[in-house]
Amino acid sequence: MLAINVNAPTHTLIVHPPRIIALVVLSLSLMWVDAHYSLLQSVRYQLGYLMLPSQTLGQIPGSIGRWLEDSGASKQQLQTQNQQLIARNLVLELKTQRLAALEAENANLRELLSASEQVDDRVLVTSVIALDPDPFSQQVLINKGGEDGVFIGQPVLDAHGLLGQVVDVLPHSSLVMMIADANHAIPVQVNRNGVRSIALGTGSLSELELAHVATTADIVPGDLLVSSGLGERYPKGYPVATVTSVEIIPGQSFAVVKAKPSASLDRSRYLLLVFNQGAGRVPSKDIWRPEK
Amino acid sequence: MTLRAVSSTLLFFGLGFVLEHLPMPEMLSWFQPPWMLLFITLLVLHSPHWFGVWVALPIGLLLDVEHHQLLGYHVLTLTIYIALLQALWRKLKRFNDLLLSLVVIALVVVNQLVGNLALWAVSSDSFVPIWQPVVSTALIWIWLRALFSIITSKFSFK
Repeated sequence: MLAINVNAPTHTLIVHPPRIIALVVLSLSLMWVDAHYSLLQSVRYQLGYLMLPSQTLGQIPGSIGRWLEDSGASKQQLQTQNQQLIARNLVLELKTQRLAALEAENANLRELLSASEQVDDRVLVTSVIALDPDPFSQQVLINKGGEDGVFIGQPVLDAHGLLGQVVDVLPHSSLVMMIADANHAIPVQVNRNGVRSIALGTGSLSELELAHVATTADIVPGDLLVSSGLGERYPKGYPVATVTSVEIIPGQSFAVVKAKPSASLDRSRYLLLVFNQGAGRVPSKDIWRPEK
Repeated sequence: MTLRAVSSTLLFFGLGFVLEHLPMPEMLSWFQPPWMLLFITLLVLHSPHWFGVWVALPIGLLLDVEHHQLLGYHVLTLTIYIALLQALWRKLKRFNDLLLSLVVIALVVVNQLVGNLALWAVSSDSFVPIWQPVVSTALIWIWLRALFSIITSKFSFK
């Protein structure tokens, strides 16, 4: 085989230790700065423009696959799907009507309490374009980025509940860390009685764990956990998970509480980016927005 | 370097980035091959006098952006990887296919270990997989190298 060019001139082939040391020092410095400060975020964002052609080309096979999948559906399937969607739309419209009444009532009550929180959240629809190949992280890539107003720290939902938050922004794509990621934690409360806790990601898409739940806490399997809005990162009141088991181990101070995420973490293709105006405002020190 | 060589190299790197971004089927996504690392291996083995550690800076930064990794991570791992390849080049050119493949697989392991060590030193809460890229490298390296040989001999790249 000719992959190694045996005729390559060897007289110029010198490993330059000073050059290597300089690059190692430079790279370690860059990593340290990037890990601790957001100074390099704008550099990363600008480099994202250079990656745009390869990212666009890399998405073509996936797009073709989805197009083939969609166009391969038979007329019968489409008609059935259409009927199901019409029925679902009616149910959702009914729910929306009830929600509008509740929203108005809630706004009136807040006015009475002189509360400043707003309940309407502006959202942007996005779709998942890739999964993080790293088996130890639960992250997905979405097709909206800084050009669409996406910012680091932004909450992301699917049709069933909170899915995660944006952790990196490029011009036309963003990385979302899901609530099941082992590095993720979200403040929650039990919808039934308001008991607060923190839901930790376990690395498994089907399981969250509640941290430091007292054995006497009123939590039972089937309880719905919603975001509490504490920590000011996630908006308040969105479904996060449903408690699946509560195990009390004799001699232990805390119960082992496990929950199943409400969002379809491994199935959702379309997601919502929330531009919340009031409750759950992301602290400004944690936000990075590209400069316009 | 001729204009043809420069444009071929840019095309080669461009292809590497496209493949890096190419989504794999969900079941195989853990085994996404380290395309750019393998492409750089081919280039360094073919023309070690041209593709030195300087390659690590631009390509490494772009890979960091591509993989949403800390800026500098791939610069570090590629610098050490290319330096090792260059240092071993005189021996490698005498190796047969099997031995060369084993060395490349070992270097990929070293590359992942260096990355983990650097992440542990800098941020302590991140981890990159070690064995998945090694398995995919073992599976595709020999075919990639054969394809590269055909291309270089057919188009007489020197």
